[in-house]
Amino acid sequence: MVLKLTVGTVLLFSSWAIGYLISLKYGLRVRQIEYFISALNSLENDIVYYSNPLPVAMKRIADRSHKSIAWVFEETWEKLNNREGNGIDEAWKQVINNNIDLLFLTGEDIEIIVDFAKELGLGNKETQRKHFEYTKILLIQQKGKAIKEKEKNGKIFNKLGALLGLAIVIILI
Amino acid sequence: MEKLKNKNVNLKLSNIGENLEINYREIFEILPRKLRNILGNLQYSFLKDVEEIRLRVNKPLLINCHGEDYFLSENGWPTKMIHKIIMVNKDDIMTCFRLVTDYSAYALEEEIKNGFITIKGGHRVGICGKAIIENRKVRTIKDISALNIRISKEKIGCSEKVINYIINGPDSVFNTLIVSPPGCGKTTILRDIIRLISSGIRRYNFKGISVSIVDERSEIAGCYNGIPQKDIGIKTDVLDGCPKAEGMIMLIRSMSPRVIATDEIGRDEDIYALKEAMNAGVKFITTVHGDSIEDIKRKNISILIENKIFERVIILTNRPRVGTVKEVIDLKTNSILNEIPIDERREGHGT
Repeated sequence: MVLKLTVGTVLLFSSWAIGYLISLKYGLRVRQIEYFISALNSLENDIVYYSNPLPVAMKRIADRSHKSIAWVFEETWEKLNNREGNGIDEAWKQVINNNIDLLFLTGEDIEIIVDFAKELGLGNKETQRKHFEYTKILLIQQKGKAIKEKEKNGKIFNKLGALLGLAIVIILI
Repeated sequence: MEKLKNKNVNLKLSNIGENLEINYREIFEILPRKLRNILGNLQYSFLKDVEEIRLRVNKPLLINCHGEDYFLSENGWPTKMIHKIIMVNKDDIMTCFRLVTDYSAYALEEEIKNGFITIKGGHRVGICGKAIIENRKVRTIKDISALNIRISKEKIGCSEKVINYIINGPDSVFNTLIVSPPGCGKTTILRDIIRLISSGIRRYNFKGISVSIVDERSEIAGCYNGIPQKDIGIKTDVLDGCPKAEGMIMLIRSMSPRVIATDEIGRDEDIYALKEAMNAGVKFITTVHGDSIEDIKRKNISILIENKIFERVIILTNRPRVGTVKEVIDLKTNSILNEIPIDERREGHGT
C-alpha cells in the first residue's frame, strides 16, 4: 500500500510538473518579448539620441538587458567587433539561429526580430527612429497574442498535467 | 588576408628619402569577405601601389594603380581583359557601406551628405547613389550604387626639399601658397610641412611652433573619431570637418595658433578669413588648384598675391613624378628661389 501511494504520488507530481513546464513556456514567451521591447527602447536611445556607433550600442545593451536575451546583443557585438566582413543583418541572424533553443518565441516572433536587423544602422536617425517604432509595434502585437495564449493554453496545460496524473493514478490503483 | 598577415600587415617601405607606411588591414576591414579574399591574393608588389578600389553595382571590381585601371580575375590577378573577372553586386556594396560606416550610417549623416567618409588610417571612401534633396540641400544619399576607396599614403619627409624656403628664422614661417593641378601631391606636401614646422627642424635650428589646421574634408590629418591618423606634428590642433572660413576665425579666437594651415581655398569667405588671420598676426600655409602663378592670378585669390600677402608660392607638378617641385617663388622680390643656392638664399633673408 505504501509502495502504491509512493508511486502514485510520484506519478501525480511528475505529470503535474510536465504540465506546469509547458504552461511556463507560454509565460516565458511573454517575458522575452517584453525584454526585447525594452532592449529595443534602449538601443533606440543609444542610436537616436546619443549617436553611439552600433557596436558600442550593442555592447551597452548586452550589459543592461535581461540575461535571457542579453546573449543576442553580446554575440552580435562580438561578431561586429571582430570585423568578420559580415553585414549586421547576417551577424544578427547567425547569432539567433545558432542559439534558437534559448528563445521561447514562435517562428513569427523570431521573423520580426531577424527582420529588424535588415535596416538597422542604415539611413539617418529619423529613418532609424521609424524603423524602431515599426518593430516595437509588431512586437507589442505579438506580446498581446502571447498573453492571450498564455491565459488560454497556460492554464489548460497546468491543469491538464495534474488531471492526467490523477487519472493515471486512479487507473493504476 | 592571411597572406598579408604573414607579410606583416603594417608594412614600411624605404624609398629615396621617403618612407611609405600603409596599413592594409584598415582597408581590408571595410571590404566584404568575398572581396577581402580576392584582394588578399594580390602580390604585395602590386598592392603597395594601389591608389583606388572602385565598387560599382553590377560592374567589375576596379583597381587603380599608377593611374591605370585594372580588373581582377577570379583568381585574384590584375588584368585589363574583361574575361572571367570579379563582379560587384548590390549586397557587396551594402556590406561594404555598412563596414565603412561601422554599421552606423546614422552617426555619419554629415559625412554622407558631403559624399565621403574618412575611415581609420585617414583613407577616404567616396559615396554615390540617389541624393535626397530638401530645401535645395542634400539631406542624404540613399540607394548606394558606387563606392570609391581612396588609399591615403603618407610620405614622411617629402617636404624636406622645400621646407627651407618656408621657414623664416627660428620660430616663424612665410605665408605660403602651394599651387598645383589635382593629383600632384599638394595635400601630402602640406601635411609634411605642417609636421615639420610643428615638431621643429633641428637642422635649421627651427623650434616647433603651434599650428592649427582647418581640415574641412578630413584630408590633411585624416581624423577618425576625432583622432588624427596622420603624423601632423606635436604642436598641431585640428578642427575637423569645419568649413574653412568659419574654422579659421574660430581657431584664431580659441587656439591662438602661430600658423594656420588649410587646404584648397577658393571662396570669397576663405580670402576674407585669411585676411583676418593676417591682421591677427597669424601666418598661414594653404593650397590652391592651378598650373602656374599666371593661372591663379585669374582667381579670386589674386588679391592676396597682388598685395604680396603671400610671401612664398610653391608650384608642384606630376612630371616626372607626383610631388615634383617645379618652382618656389618669392613674391616680394618676384624671384624664383629654387634656382638660387640654398646658403645664398638663407643669408639674403637674414635667417
